Order: sequence, then structure tokens, then C-alpha cells
Amino acid sequence: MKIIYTVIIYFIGLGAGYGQQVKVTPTSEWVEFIGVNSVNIKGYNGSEIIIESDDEEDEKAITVGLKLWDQDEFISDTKAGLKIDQKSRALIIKQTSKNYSCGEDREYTIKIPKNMNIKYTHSSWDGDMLYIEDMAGSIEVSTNYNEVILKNVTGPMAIKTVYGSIDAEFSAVSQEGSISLYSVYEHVNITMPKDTKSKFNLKTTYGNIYSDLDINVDKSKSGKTGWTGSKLVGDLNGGGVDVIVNATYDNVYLRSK
Amino acid sequence: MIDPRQKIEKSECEKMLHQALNNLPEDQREVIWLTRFEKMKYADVAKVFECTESAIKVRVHRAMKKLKTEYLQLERL
Amino acid sequence: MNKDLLEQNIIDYLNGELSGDITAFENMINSDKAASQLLEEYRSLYHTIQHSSDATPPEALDQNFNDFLQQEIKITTDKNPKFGINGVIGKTTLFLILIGIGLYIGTQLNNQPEALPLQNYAYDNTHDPGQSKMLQLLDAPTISNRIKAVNMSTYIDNAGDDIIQALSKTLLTDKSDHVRLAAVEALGNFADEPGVRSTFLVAIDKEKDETVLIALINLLTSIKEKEAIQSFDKIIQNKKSLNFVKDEAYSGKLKLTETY
Repeated sequence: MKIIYTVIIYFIGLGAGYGQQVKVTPTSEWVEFIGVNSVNIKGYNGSEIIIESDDEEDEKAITVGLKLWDQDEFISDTKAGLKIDQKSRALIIKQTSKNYSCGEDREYTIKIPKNMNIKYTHSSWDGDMLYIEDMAGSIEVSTNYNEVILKNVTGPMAIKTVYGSIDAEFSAVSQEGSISLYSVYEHVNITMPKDTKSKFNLKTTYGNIYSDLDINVDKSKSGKTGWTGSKLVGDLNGGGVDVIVNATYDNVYLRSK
Repeated sequence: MIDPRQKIEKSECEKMLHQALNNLPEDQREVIWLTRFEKMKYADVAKVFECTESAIKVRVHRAMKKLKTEYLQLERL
Repeated sequence: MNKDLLEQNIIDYLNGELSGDITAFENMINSDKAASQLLEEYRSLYHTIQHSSDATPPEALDQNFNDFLQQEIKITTDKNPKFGINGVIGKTTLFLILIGIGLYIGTQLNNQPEALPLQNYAYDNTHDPGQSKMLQLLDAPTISNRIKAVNMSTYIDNAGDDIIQALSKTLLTDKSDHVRLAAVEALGNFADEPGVRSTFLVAIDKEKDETVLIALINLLTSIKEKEAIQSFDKIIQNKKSLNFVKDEAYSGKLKLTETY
């Protein structure tokens, strides 16, 4: 079912503090972020996606009539340094212009309808923090350098990072699909309600596994792996959603709320 | 990204192709499968069916002509 | 040239089997409008055949691989083989069927790079229902369900060839890097099974995602698969490889070349 795509652009010059605000009405279940360095996402009960940038973009006047060269193409019609495209599969939000002149790139605060699904990909060295709060839809994250912080989320999700840590605090845990958290060089830290029904498959090659949950461990599948590794397979409260965690070089923390 | 119209066209062509293939006798389907999908040479196909290369050539010719006729008929529908 | 003969020559030409002077044939076609049109009709048909993503072989060729393998083994040791000549025919046929099934599965996968000749598994509801459910779920549209499916292998005791083949296929062909990553970990539990090491070696050469590559490098190093050294070298020498992937490959290579 197609909903007419609308973009309402507000330019708010508030001096110091807020830069720009963009509102978009999504026509698909997914919003996909590509290469957006630093983003705080907050779920809410509305129907629009509201994007705020902290950059005042003083250079706006000087860029009127010009197109931005973005890696391999000229782009016109960017909003708050983002290229926003409504495709049938997702609303695609891609960061185009960067601003490192003050040593910091712009930050985005984005409100998203809480049941939407989020996909986030970032591969370059300038990935900063990805913060997602109050979301009840699916989350997919694939990043090399971002630190990933999730608060009051439910899953399902698939998150993998190379250099970033993953800190995930669940309000309630969806029994749909699975929850997969994978960090190569940093820790994975999970907090969930102690009455959650789940099945754990936790692994680390060079770190340790810590928990205060009352896990019924399957000893035939758990224990040491290789010279330094550690594996834990077990269930909580009789079993439920698959929670698959791997922190290759660091620790896995699994704690109760 | 594939244009959705091209995707539908491609899918229609494939459906007609499969229908046309299904209309062929088994032995003709087999030689088309082996020469077109598996990219086998006539000589190798001849070994599989234990016959001469010329015989396989004839079978391939008949099969392809029939497939073409079936396919074009479906296209016109 | 009469039309029948022209068609035969066109078919042979497109199959790469035309005997005689090919240049003369091409010149003749180019100079004759009707002949050119006929060539284009066949060419278009061939194009559709070659790019068909879900063709299935005829029934006679679509046999269960293991049954056929057993039949061929019997034929080659039988004094009066079914094919009536000698073991060479049986072996040639077996070889061709192996290639055939491998390529058949390759054509099923929307022109993705060639997978290993994998068994074309078909799950059976009379098997362990856990295994059946896992195999079904591997085709789920959502990533989280396919990861769930992969993870189910952890809980299946005495996982059979079906499961291992399914995990191998997932590792080599799933479109999601998250799912392929899960498959590396799951398949690592079966590293001693036949064919699994080969699967990892194929996977590392075709994989593009950095996290999956690191997982493969670490796994191949942990199972002491010295054949992986070549693959590690390719990664190290590839200018497009990210530095942290190169570092892992280099570290893996050092570990594999040490004497234990």
C-alpha cells in the first residue's frame, strides 16, 4: 500500500544549539541509515520520522545553486547534510556532507515511530556512537568502528561491530526471531529482566563470560574452547528466544535488571 | 538495482521458457539441459547417452527448434 | 542455404560447436536479413535460458545424489555394468552428474559465485522434527529467523549430513552477512566432518564482509587448517583489504606456520 511520500522541511535558525529539523512520513516499515557517523535514535508514538541536526550550517547561503560532490556522484537536495530517499524497501538516510573543521562531526537526533525497523551500516573510521532507545521493532547493525548503545529495546536484532562495544539494555525481550550480538575487539554487555525466557549461546575466544542470571547451563555444550576460549549454552526460565553472543577478544556480561 | 518492470519482464520470460521446456519430450529436454544449462560439449553428451556425436547434434537441433517454436507461440498468447 | 540447415548451423554456432569457417558463417549471417533475424531469435532464447534463475533439471537427471552415487559405485564394480561397456562410462557419467548437480545448484542461486557441489538436500518430515524445522527456517525471509535456524544446529544431537550441508550452503550463499557470520560459528562445531574444511576455504576466498572474514580467519587458525595460508596471503596482499583484516590474516598465518 503506497502512501504518498511527503517531505516537510523546516529550517530553524535558533542560533547556538539546534541547527535544522527535517520531518519525513515513511511509507515502508524500515528506515536504513548508511554512513551516518553519530546518531541518537529514539522511538516514540508518532508516525513521522523527525531528524534534528546540531549543525547550524552557516555555509547554507554560499552553497545555494550548487550540488554536493559525494564520493561518486553530484547530489542536490540534501537535507541537514543527509540524502533522504524513500524506496519501496526502506527510507534510506545517508550522510553526505561531513564537518570535521571543529574536530567533531555533526550529531543527529532522530525520532522514529517505535515499531519501525532499523538498519544501520557504517564501515569507515569516522563511525562514532550509535544510540538507540525505546524501539520495539527489528534492529540490524553492521559497523566497524561505532560504539553501539541500546536502551529499552526489545529485539529481534542482529548487531555486529569490529571495534565498537555493544551495550544492550532490554525492557522486555521479544520472543520473535533471535537476538544476535557480535563484537570482535570489544565487550558485549547485556541487561535483561531476570524473568526473561531465553536460550543462551555465549562465546568468547580470548575473554571471559560473566553473569548474575540463574541460567540452567547445558554442561555438555559449555566450558572451555581451545586454549583460552569460553562457551556457555543454557536456558533461562525454561528457555525461549535465542540470544547468541560473541565477544571474540573481550568479555561477555549478562546481567539481570 | 533492477528496474521492477525489467524484473517482471524477466520473470515472464522465464515462466514462458519453463512452460516451453515442459512441452518438450523428455529426451529433448535432457539434451537442452546438458548443452545449455550445464554447457556440455556434444561429444560429452554423446558419452552420457552412449550414442554418436552426430546423433546428439540431431537431437539438439530438433530440441532447440521445437523449444523456439513453443516459446514463440507462448509469447504471442 | 535452406532454412533447416541454417537453423542447425545457428544452433551449433551458439553452442560453440559449429564446424567449418566461422568467419564465413558470420559474414553470411550479417549479409542476410532473414538469417540475422533467425540468429537473434535463437540468441534471445539462449539468453533467457542462461539467465534463468529457477530452472530444474528433467526428472531423469534429478535423482537423489546418494542413490545415484550408490548405483554408480555398484556399476563400476559390477562385471556386467548396466551401461554395458566398462567402468569408464560409469565414472564419466558420475563425474558429469557431480558437475551437473553442482552447477544446477549454482543456477538456483541467482548467478551468485559457484558453490561447492553440495547435496541437493530435501528435508523429510519423517526425520527429526527439529532438523526439519531448522531446514525450513533457513529459508525464512527475516534475518533474525535465519539466524535462529542456524543456531538450532547447536541443539541437534547427531546432526546429519542434511544439517551440515544446509549450514554450508548458508555460509556460502546467504545474502545477509549476519546470517553468514552465524553460520561460521555453527559450522565450526562440525569442523571435523568431511567437506566442512573445504567449505571454509571456499568461503574465505569469496567473502567480502570484514567481520565474517575475521571469524573465518580465526576459525581456520583454530582448527589448524594449513591450506588456509594461501587464502590468508591473498587477503594480506589485496590492497582493498582493510588493515584490521590483514592484521588478523597475518596473525593467523604466523600461527599456522609455527611448529606445534
